[in-house]
This record gives sequence, C-alpha cells and structure tokens, in this order.
Amino acid sequence: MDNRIAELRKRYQMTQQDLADHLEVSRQTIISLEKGKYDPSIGLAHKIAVLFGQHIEEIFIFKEK
Amino acid sequence: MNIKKQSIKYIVFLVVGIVLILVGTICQLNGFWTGLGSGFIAVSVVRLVQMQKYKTDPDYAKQINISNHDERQSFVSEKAMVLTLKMIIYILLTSGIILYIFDQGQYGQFCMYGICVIMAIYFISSYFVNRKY
Repeated sequence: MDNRIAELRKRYQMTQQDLADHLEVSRQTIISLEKGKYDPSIGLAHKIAVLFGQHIEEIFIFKEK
Repeated sequence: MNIKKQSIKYIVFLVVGIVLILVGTICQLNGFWTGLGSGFIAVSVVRLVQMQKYKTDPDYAKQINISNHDERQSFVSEKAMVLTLKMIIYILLTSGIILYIFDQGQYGQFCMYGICVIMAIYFISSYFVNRKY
C-alpha cells in the first residue's frame, strides 16, 4: 500500500520525530510507514488522517496484489 | 505501565531471591538455588531502578510508554515470536530425525514429544483466541 505521509509531513513542515510525537508512536514507525514497509492499523491510519485533515483513502493508496 | 503492581511483583521477586540465596547457603543446597536466587535479585533490582526512573523522569516515562504501545513494535514482536516458534518446531523435527538415524531413538522421541506439546498448546490457544475475536 502506497501512502502520502512523507509528502504531507513535509507540507506541514514537520520532522519525522514531530509526527511520531503527535501520533504517539516511535520514529522508526514513521520511517517504516513512509517507506511503505509497514501498513498501519485502522486506528493509526485514522489518527494520521485527522492530523492532516484528509480522508484515509486520500492518504493511503490501496493496491491489489 | 501499572507501576504499583509491577513494583510489588519485583519486590516479591527480590524477597524470593534473597530467601533462595539464604536457604541455599544455610542448608548447603547445590548451586542451582543460589544461582536462581541471584538471577531473581539481579532482574528485580534492574526493574525496580527502571521503575524509579520512570516515576521521576517524564522524558524517560514518555519514551517507555511509546515503546510499550507502539503498534509496529508489537507487530515486529509478534512476527518474531511466530518465526521463533516455527524455527523451534523445525529444529526439533530435524533433531528428532537425525537422532533416530543415529540410533538415539529415546532422545529423538523426546524431540517429537516436544513438537506434539507445542502443537497441542497451539490448538488450545487458537481455540481461545478464535472465541475472543
């Protein structure tokens, strides 16, 4: 699953650590999310969407495998 | 982290460790019991120091809370646990076969029983987890 987390984070001029602090996760989680190596839970995806004021499907792009 | 409950648990471990060392020394038991007691004391002391730091250092507390509740960390931990279990089963299976080949059937049987026990625990666990979710 692709996502626009890195793009949105940069748009909001946040560091990975800032975003991690807002979401109460580790910076490593943000790194993995941005690289697309880890798919978040629905709860974390919702938190990210709320933080950036977007819908989940606007941030996470689902791809059929 | 429930600090109070955890503190009580590790204080109990500390007391158990001290008692094991004292009983082991006074009754001149073998080194196993004093070794076990030392282990209990070491773990308890480290955990109690960490908990004291957690109570007094907000930054450390925040870091611990994040690492305890970080969903990726839980995911990694669960994946590693599953992988470990699979590896243990393969190691036991391979060891069992090798031991049978080299005429050590008794030990080979022990390995196979190990696999049976793991599988039985797995089916019981999956039954309860399946009911829960």
